Parts: sequence; C-alpha cells; structure tokens
Amino acid sequence: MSELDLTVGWPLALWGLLAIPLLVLAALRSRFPIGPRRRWMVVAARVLAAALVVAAVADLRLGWPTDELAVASVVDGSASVAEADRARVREQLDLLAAEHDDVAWIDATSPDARRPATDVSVAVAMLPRDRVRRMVVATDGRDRGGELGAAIAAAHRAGVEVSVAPMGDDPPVDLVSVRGVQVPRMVRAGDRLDVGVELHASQDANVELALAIDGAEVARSEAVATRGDSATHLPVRFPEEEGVHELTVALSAGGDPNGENDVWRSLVRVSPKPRVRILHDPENGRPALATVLDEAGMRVEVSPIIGAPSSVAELEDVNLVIVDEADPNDLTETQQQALRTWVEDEGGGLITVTGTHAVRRAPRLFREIEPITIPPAIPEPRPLELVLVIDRSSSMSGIKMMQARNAGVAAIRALRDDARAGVVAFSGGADRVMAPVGMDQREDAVSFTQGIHASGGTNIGAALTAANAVMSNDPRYIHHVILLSDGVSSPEPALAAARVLAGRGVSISAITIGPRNDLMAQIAQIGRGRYHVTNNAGSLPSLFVREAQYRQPPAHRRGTFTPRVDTHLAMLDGVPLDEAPPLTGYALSGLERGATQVLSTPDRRPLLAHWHRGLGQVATFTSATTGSWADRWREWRGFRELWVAMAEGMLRTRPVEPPQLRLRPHPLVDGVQILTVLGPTLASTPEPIVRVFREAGEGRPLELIERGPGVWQTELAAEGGFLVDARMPGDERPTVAVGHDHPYDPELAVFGRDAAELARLAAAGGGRVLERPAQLVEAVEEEAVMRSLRTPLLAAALVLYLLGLLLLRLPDHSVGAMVVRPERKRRRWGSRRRSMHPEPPSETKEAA
Amino acid sequence: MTFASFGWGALAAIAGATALTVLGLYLLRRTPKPQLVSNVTFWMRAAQSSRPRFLRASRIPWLAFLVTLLIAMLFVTEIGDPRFGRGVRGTTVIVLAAGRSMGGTFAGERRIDRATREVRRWVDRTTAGGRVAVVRAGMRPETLLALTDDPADLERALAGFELDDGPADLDGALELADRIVTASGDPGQILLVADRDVEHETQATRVLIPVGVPSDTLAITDFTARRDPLAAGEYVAQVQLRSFSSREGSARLRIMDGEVPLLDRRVTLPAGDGARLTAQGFSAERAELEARLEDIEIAGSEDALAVDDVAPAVVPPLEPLSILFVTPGNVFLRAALAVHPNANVEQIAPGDFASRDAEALAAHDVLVLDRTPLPEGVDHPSVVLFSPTDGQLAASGPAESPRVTAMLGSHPALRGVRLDGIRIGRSLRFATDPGDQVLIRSGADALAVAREVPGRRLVAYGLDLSSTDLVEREAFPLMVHDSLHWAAAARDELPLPRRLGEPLYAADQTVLGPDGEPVSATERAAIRQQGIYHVGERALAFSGTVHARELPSGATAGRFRTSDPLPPLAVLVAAALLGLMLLEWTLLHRGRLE
Repeated sequence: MSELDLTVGWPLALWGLLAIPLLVLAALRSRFPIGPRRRWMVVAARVLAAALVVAAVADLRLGWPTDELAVASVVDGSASVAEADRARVREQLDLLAAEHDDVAWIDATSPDARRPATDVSVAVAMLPRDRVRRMVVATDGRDRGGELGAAIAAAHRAGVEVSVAPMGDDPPVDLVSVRGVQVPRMVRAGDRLDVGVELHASQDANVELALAIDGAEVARSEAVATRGDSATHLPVRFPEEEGVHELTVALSAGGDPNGENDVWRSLVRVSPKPRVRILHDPENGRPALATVLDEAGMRVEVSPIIGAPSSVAELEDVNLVIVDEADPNDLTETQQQALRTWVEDEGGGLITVTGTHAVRRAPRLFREIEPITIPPAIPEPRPLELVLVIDRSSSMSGIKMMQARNAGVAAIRALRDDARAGVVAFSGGADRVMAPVGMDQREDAVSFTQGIHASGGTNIGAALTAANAVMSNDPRYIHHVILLSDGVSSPEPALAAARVLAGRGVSISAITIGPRNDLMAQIAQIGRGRYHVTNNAGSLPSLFVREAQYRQPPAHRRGTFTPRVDTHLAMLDGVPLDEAPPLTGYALSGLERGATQVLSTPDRRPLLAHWHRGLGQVATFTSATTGSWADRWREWRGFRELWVAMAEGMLRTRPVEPPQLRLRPHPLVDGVQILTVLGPTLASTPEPIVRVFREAGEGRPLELIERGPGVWQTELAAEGGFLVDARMPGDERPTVAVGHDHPYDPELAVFGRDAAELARLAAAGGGRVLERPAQLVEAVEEEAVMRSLRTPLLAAALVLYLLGLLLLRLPDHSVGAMVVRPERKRRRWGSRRRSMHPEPPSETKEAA
Repeated sequence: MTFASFGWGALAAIAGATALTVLGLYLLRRTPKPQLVSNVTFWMRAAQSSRPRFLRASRIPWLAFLVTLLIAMLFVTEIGDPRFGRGVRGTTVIVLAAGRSMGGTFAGERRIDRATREVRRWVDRTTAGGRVAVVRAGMRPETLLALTDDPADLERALAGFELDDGPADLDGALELADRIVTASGDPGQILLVADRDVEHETQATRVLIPVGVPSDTLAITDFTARRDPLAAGEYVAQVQLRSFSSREGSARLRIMDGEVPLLDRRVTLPAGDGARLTAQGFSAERAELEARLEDIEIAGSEDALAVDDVAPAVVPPLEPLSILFVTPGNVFLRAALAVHPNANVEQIAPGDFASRDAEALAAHDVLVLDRTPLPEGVDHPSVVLFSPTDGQLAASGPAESPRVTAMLGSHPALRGVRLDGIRIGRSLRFATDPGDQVLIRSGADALAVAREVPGRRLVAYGLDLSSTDLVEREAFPLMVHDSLHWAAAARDELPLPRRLGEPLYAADQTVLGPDGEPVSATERAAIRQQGIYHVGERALAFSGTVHARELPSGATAGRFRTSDPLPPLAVLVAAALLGLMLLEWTLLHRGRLE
C-alpha cells in the first residue's frame, strides 16, 4: 500500500469538527496562568483529542494491506451433477484446505439445498471482511433461470472474487436422456408426421425409442445418440379422435444409470376430421362420393338438395360442400345465397357434379360461382323462317322506334339467303303485317320495316295471332318469332296466342325495352325461347341477329370417351389420371373466363374445371360419380384418389386470422411460464378463447388479463407441462396451440459441463474457470482491507486529553511565581471583567 | 446499557487507571496564579520561592477535578462502545424489504427510510453481544451486509441503497436469512423489516418489524404501445389506471413521446375503480413513450407511491427491412425483391459475401442467398436461401422435373401463394431435420423447407429459378415477400414492455440505463429499475406496472413504532464528551474552575 487509504463511514458526524474552532476561541485571552507557548500546546492537544473523537464517531477506517485469504466453497447440489462428482470435488477442496491452514475456509454448501445461488449468498455473508475474500463455486454451469449468475454477480459486487470449478463430467450423472420432442402442437386427425426426438448423451450410445399415444405404442425405432445433443425421428400416425392426446417417447439404452429422464411426455391437440356435406338427389341413392370420403377419414353428411343450408351459420362447421348430381334449380334463392356467401366470404370449398342435369343460366346465384357456364349456342342447320313482331305503340316513339327499325333491318340483312322473313307491326291491333318472303325480296322486307312508325296502344295477343297467321307450316324451316315490346298488354290473350304458336313448334324470343316484364318472360318461357331485358335499344340489332342465327345446344352428350388432361392441378398430383377409364356421358358446358380446365372432353368442353371464388374455391365435374356414366370410373383405383385429393385440396380455408401464442419463462418466479396472446388486430374485442390442458382430455378456459391493445397475458405453472390452444370467436375450433413440457426434473435433461456458461459465470464473478483447485489460493495479491480505527482513535484522544491536562497542571517556569504588587487605583466601568492577562509589569517584579 | 468493545471488568480497570491518572495530574503543583500582595509579603514570598519545592500540590481544585474525571470517564465509556439495552447474543439476520412498495410515503417519509432507521437501531443493539447480517429483500434476495459485529459496517452497506421497482421476494430472503443463521453456527433470530408479512417457515425465530400505514395510491397498471398490424407505421398507446384507494381520486394523465404530448387528460377514478385510455392515430418510425400521472388528488388523502405513477413503453422502430442479396445474377429474384415494400436491398456477388464478417452481416435484417451457401457458424437470425448446395440447410440432391404434389399453404411463408400447375424444370431436394417444415413437396422430396430454432428462422427453396415458370407468375413475388416477412419476424418482440427481473442481453454493446448512464454487466443480469434502456440504437422498455397493486399496510403483525428511536448511545456519549470538553475548556480559561 503506497497510499494512505482512509474512508469515512458516517460523514454526517464530521459536523462535530465545528467544536474545534470553539476550543481555539475559548483559549484566546485565557486567564489560566500558563505561558503562551504552553497554552498553545495544550490547545493543540485538546483540539486533536476532540478531532479524534469526531473521527471515531464518523467511522474513520484505514485501508490495511493484507494478503490473508478467506475462501468460501459452494458445491452445486443440483440433480445434473453426480454424487460421486461432488464427493471428488469436496475431497479436493478438503485436501486444499488441509494444505493451506493459513487460509480461512468456509464451506457454504447446504447439506440438502439444491440451489447453489442461495449458497453463494450465504457464503458472502459468512466470509470475514478483514481478509482477501474468494469463493469457488463448483458447478456444471447449467444455470437454469439465471439465478446462479445473478447471485455470483451480487457476490462480486460485494467484493468477493468468485471463480468456478468445473464439474459434471467426472463421472456424468447419466448416459443418455430424452431432452425434448419436436412435434407440431396441433395436428389433424389421422395425419402421418415425423416426430423429432432430441437426445442428450454423455457418450455415444445405442438407444431404442418407443413412441406411444395415449399409452398405446405406435412407433418404435433404434438410433445412435451421439455425445452431446443429437436428434432422430419417428414416423407417427395420429389418432382419429379429436382432442388433446398424450404423446410419450420412452428411451432404453444399456448402461443408462438414470431412468427418470428417459421418458418425455408431450401433449398434442388433434384437430377433427374435415366435415363434408353432400347435397344430392335422393332418387339417385347414396352418393358414391360419400363412401369414398368417409373411407378417407372425413366426416360425411348426406342430405337432399332441398335440405341445403339456408344460412351461413348452418355451414359454420363444414369444410366442404358437394352438390352431387342434383338439380341446382331445387335450391331456393336463400339457399343459393348462403352457399355463395359461405364460399366467397368464409373460404368454403364447393364441388359440383352436374350428372345429367343441363347447365343453364338458372339458378343464377348458384351458376355464377361455378367455373363453368352455359355451352355456347350452335349454328342452326335449317333455314329460318323469322317473323319480327314489333311494338309500334306511342310509347315506342322517338329513339326506341328508330332503334327497333334499325334492329329489324339488321336482322333481316343478317339472315342467310335461304331464310324467309316476315314483319308484324302492332299497336292496338296488328295493323301492319307482311307475310314471310324469301331473301330475294329482302329489300321489300327492309322497306316495310323502315316504314313502321309509332302510334296507338299495345295488343300483344293480336300481334302474336297475326304472326301465327302468316307463319307457314313448311317443315324445311325452323320457325321463330322475335317479339319486341316495351308496353303492358292484357296477359290472357297474349299467353293464349303464345301457346298456339308454341303448339305449332314455333319458338318465341322476347325482348323488353325497359324494366322486366313478367308477361314477356312467360311468353318466352312458353315459346322455349330466350328473354332479354335491355335499356339500350342500340344493342338490339346484335341480339336480333344472334337469336335469328343460333339455337341452344342439347343438355348433354352421351357416348364413351376418355377424359383429356389439360392442366396440372397441384392438388391432384399423384392421381393416375392418365390411366382413367372412359366415361359414357357428360353435360355440355363452357369454361368461365379465369377458370382452369383440368380435364376436358374430346370436343374440348370442360369435364373438370376449377377456380378460386372470393376466399374459397369451386370445382365442377360435368359427368357423374354415382350415375351410370361413371360405372367404369368407380371401379378405377384412381377414382378414390381423385376425389379424396380434390376434397382435401378444397377444404375450407380459415377466414379469420388466428391469434398468436407466445410462451416465456417468468423472470422472477421459477417454474412459471407467461403466456402472451396477440390478437390479429388492435381490437380488444372479441377476445380470443384460450384453454389449457394439463393432460389428455378436457381442458379448462384460461382467464386472460388485457395488457395492451389486442394483447393479453396470463401465467401458468410449468410443473407437469401443459398445452394451450386458442381461437378467435369467429373460428369454430382452435386454430393455434403451444405447449410446454415438463416431464421430469429439468436438471436431468442435459448434463455434463457447459464450458461457455462456466466462462460466463466466472466472468460475472470477476474470477476464472479453475483448471485445478490449487489455483484458488495462488496469486493472492495484497488488498486493502478496511479496518476500523474507532478504538485506537478514542484511546489516542484520551491520551491526548490527559496530556493536555498534564501540560495544564505542570508548573510553567516561564511564568514563575506571579506575585504582583498592588496597582494604582484605575477604577473604571467593567474592570471586573478585565483581561486576565496582566498588564505589562511596569510595577511587577519577578522573583529571581 | 451494554458495552460492545470491552467487558465490564476491562472497562473498570481502564476507568480506574484513568481516574488515578487524573488524580495524579491534579496533585501536581500547578503554576501559581498571580496574586496582589504588599511589598513585605512580596519579598517574603520571593524569599520562600527560592527554596526547593516538590512536584505536587497540597490543595486540589475539586470542581475542576470532578469535571475532568467525568470527561475521562466518558472517554472510557466511549472506548467501551456503549449500547442501549442488554444486547442480543448469537447471530441476528435482518431482512430488509427493498421492493417497490417500500417507497410508499406517509407524512413525507418513505417506508424505507423508517425501515433503515429500524435496521440501524437493531444493528446497534444486536452487535453489542453478537453478530448481525442484513439481507436485502429485493426482486432477488442478496446479502447486503455480511456477518459483522461492527454496527458502522451498516452505513457503508447502505451507501447507494436503492429500492427495486419490482416486488420484494420475501420468501427467498427469509430462506437465505435462515441459511445464514444456520451456517453461522450460533443461535440466532431473523428480523423481517417490511411492510408485509409472508407465510414462510424458518428454523430460526422470526420477528416482524412492520413499517408502513394504510395508504392510498393511484397507479398505472399497464402501459403498452403496439403497432397496428393492419396499418404500416401507425401505433396505438394504451394505458390502464386503477385506484387503490377507498376514496375518489383524480390525476392528470400525460403520455409523452419525448417532449411531444400524445395525450393530456384529467382522469377521475372512483374508489377502487379502473380506467383504460387509448391514444391512437399516431404514426412514427419509432417512439419512446412515457405515461405519467401528475397532480394527483385523492379526497382527504394523498398519493403514497410515486413509482407506480410512471411507466415506459417503446414503439419498435419501423425501419426499412435491410436485405443483403447475394447472387451471381438473378433478374427475377431482384425484381421480386424490388417490389417488396419498405426494403433496402444491397446486392453483392457471392465472392464478396465470404469477406463479410458476422458484425457486417448482423447489420442486415435478412440475408437472401441465391445459389450461395450459408457457411456453418454464421448464425444470422433471418436467412432465405435459394438453391443452396452447401453450408447450412444444404440440399441433399437434385430432383429432375419434379411436380408439386403438396404445399404447406397454411405456413406464413406461403400465405396466399398458389402453385397450381407450375412447371419446374429442375430443383434441389432437402433432407429435413426434426422440426423442419416442408413448404413444397414433390412426392417424398422436400423442395422447400422452413426451419425455426430459438432466435433463428431459415427458409430454403430448392427450385431452379431459371427453369420454372413460377418466376413469371404473380405468386413468385408474393412468395418472396412472405418468406422475407416470416424470416425477418424472428426478430419480432412482444409488443409489451419487458418485465423487471428479465436479463438484458447485449453481447459487447454498451447499455445505457434510463438515466443515460452505462449499465454494468452484473446489473444487466436482472434489470431492477424500470425505464427505457438503450442497446446501441435499440430501445427497450422495462416496466413494473404488472406489479402495481394495493400498498400493504405493514400492520399485519407486531407493532408500528410511532416514535423515532434515539441515536446510538455511543453517538450520544461522544456528543456529551465533546460538549463537556468544550464546557470544561471554556470555564478553565475563564478562570471559573480554580
């Protein structure tokens, strides 16, 4: 120690030094009969004594250099260290203590405690403060929760140098352990997955692993656990039953001394099988797809199409809907809307199988979500005898009449040369009629049409009767009437006239300018024609021409054919479509724009089409699954694969973003996990529904504490392990799960020394990792140990006080016998308080 | 009274010796006092003074003698280190609660101040006949004062003493105290100086010295800021308040982002009620928020605890995603990265990648390696690999013209991606490890794999981007975007302040505490003070709001002293000694004692 190291413990007491100037002041003009020199010596002694008293009270301490050593030892008593290893370390420490009896040794290891962190704090309390303090913590470095690190850091703050002595490998506590299982916490019923098994071994070992679900062994394997951490996996098929199941991995290895850590238990949530609802025509019998999908592990419900759900809520738990060879016209508008909303907004999957039912525009809501459309019209082979029935009532005046005339002219000009055309212009009656003429008189028909002008009322019945009258019966022609009107007429005569025409084999198409008119629609329906509603008269010519040149194709086509594969659909990969046997019929249809044609017929019409519609997806098969068209298909091995793959690929997707679950250990409480639930949005409502499972079977709801916008937390005891699942209220079933496993004392999961952690602990303690115990007492440098000066200071103060007294009491020969002759009378005010110092002895005589 | 330094016998001997010394000194013939005499007497005295004399006086000034004797005895008493009471034998371990509730005030005095006075008194008393240790019962119990018989050690131990902002672990502290008593080998007792009691069995006798009286407080029980998952850049701050009072109270709530007020509102809370307030509509790249209750008024009472009136929160920085794109040249991947919103892409050649060290790589949020191996040992948290032939997550072999037979559409890395009908000319296949998730599968071959280990996320695609039409589809940039988003989320943190007691890992970076001062490595092992800490550019909030609760009254057992204890007897004696010395000195020099 080259410098004086003084510290004051209670600086407040130093205010007592204010007494010193008072002592000096009191000594001024003293009456005490000693000379000035002696007097100042006494003052110095008295002041010093007072200062020493103050210093003693202020806890003045001196840094006293010492190299005397005090060492405390803590031996890790946790289960990850073998008892023999502990005994070895204790023996080494005892030997070291015997060799260095000048060192104060303190064994702070508690006999039964398994928390070395507490022992470290005890050691800090026990180490004498007048020596160089060191501590050795013999540990394997497996500091779970950071307690030991914090305790060592606190010891270092208290002035103790903490070193660590490695343990754990001599001998290791165990040969091999199962330290974890890697498995998704949420699997689907019947899923086949590889379950990862994490092993820890103190040396290479051959192990046999057995995996059981709910106590029943489902997989067994052999593996090599290499020294340190390693992993292997076991293929497992999960059970069909929905709910939480217990998965157990048991390890067996020769020479493994500790069996406690050979079994790992984990909880897994099995989601239910997909639920499929098949809507069919009961007259077709049980759908073949019901059997196929049921065998594939799906929950299948079969119901008549008329019993289709009429609300989205009824489809809440359904993953897939199949309309199997049923006429969709049996669906009400409400049912169609429910299906459509479920697909587009809720992500539902819909498969339609047309069977023999024609693909038509109706029912509109249903057809619009299918990836197919009506088949394109086909050119009519026979010539057309067309009668244009044009309303010339006064309401058609103006632009409408002009457009109607132009449309009529365009239609006449678009007719083939072998066609015939006639015109009936009507108002209150069929007042202008031109019988059909050949195209050699086309210009006459055009002129007649261009001469139509608007006036009068509307009588559709009379007009149709007139058309009937002029229409021939020539079978070489197809006979067609196009009715154009914007007005309202008496329905009975009109319908009667339409029926007469239809009875003759004449088809009638109707076009309404303006709002929809039921009478016109009924006339078109009776006439097996098409009905158009338009507000744009300019579009009428093209409509007229189309109606005049084409006709509707048949509903389906029979005949054996082999499907063609047009597009690869990922969900159908692996299905041997190339080996597909022939089908014997299909419904005619067209492909919607944007849809994928997966399979097609020889005439390139869609056989299997697919598209995404809103959040969901829809596929349509235009042949049969149950009907006779698919007799050979049902015997094909790929039939089952095709429809199972289709069904699995089109299961309903999750419409609601799932919450997130996070688990973290509690920073302050050992054995507690903090579960944080993050909602998909900032909204606090709705709150996720969270449950905890401690074992297979039923769980219990967890009460969450809202911690922030869309953030909730709760705490869970880790003991025994648990599984937590969660869902948003919009989800029918849990959509996310996390878990924490605690199958045995975590100290036994991994063992052997952790060199990195040992180095970290030593750094936190300001010490080092000891390579040999003797390093603990080596290289001891002098340290300043603060020693109290209280008693010496007070003793010195007493001596100084007595010394001052001595100086006071001893005769001062410099003063001598102070015998003074009387002064002259110098009475003045305050003379009694005159100075005790004698006047300059003008009349004083000193004795010799 | 008890003497700590010496026994009664030794002290009596010292006192006797001192008294005799004083007596001896008073028997000395002192310097005579000047006297007025006649000339005859003067000469007679002069004649007498010429005779030989003894070194003693025949007369003692009794008053001066007694005062001096008294001072000498006070010296001896002080040397004996006097204490009040009879002292306590054996080992005494004092458990001093240092949790947040000990900061509660009553009549202007904090509970901890009273508690430390009690501790001083008990240390003074117990060290007279035995040893004492003090255990600090903060969030993690620790030995504050090692076993000692010197009461002055306490003052040094208490230097810089601060309360934790979290709760006191009294159970752990009592367990530690019990172990110290046992390890000392002496009979002993435990004194728990706290504002509450706990049910904890100890082998040593335990006595509660309660501090604190029933008090009211209005508290911030939660303060969180979270970015809106549906709106880039926007965040919402939410604060929850609660009244732990039987009376209505009100306070001014301020939420500040630095100097910018986000919310400033007066809130009235009925007795025992709570309130939740939200400040929203803010958009910032980053924010360090503080919620504070000010001007608290409670009817007929006052807010007793200050630590629960403030809470920090941090809005994580909305920094552009920094992407290091390593490629020998790939126009499709570059284009896909270019359309990623909020991304800064640095493109380098594979040869340059090898020269980047870990620190340089850590500066990027995501590594996108195109036909470039990720070397073993590089533990970047977020990596997206395309056709890795070597290194981590290396492919195990080629797959010619594979067809996509399955894809894990539910995985966030492929959210919304459809691979229907894509054509793949060549690909690499991966050998998966337990825990890997196969994103794209062709039969038994894994063509894309996602791996997640604590703190790391890796995605690897085996597809040869030069031989697939995937790159021409809109699914490709979506797939790249999703993969980047998922991989980068490995750094995502909970949108909550961290809890006190959690460690703060900072590697070699300097950590600045709420006061701007560096935080030592030992303090980082378990953060005890709430506030916003900075690790480099990163801000982390540590909050104790989760521990806000009713203030314990301290009156569950024992008694509550209303009178202040006297100072230590030794201090009183020292004060008397100095005073008497001063008095004696003054009287002596004024000539009043002779």
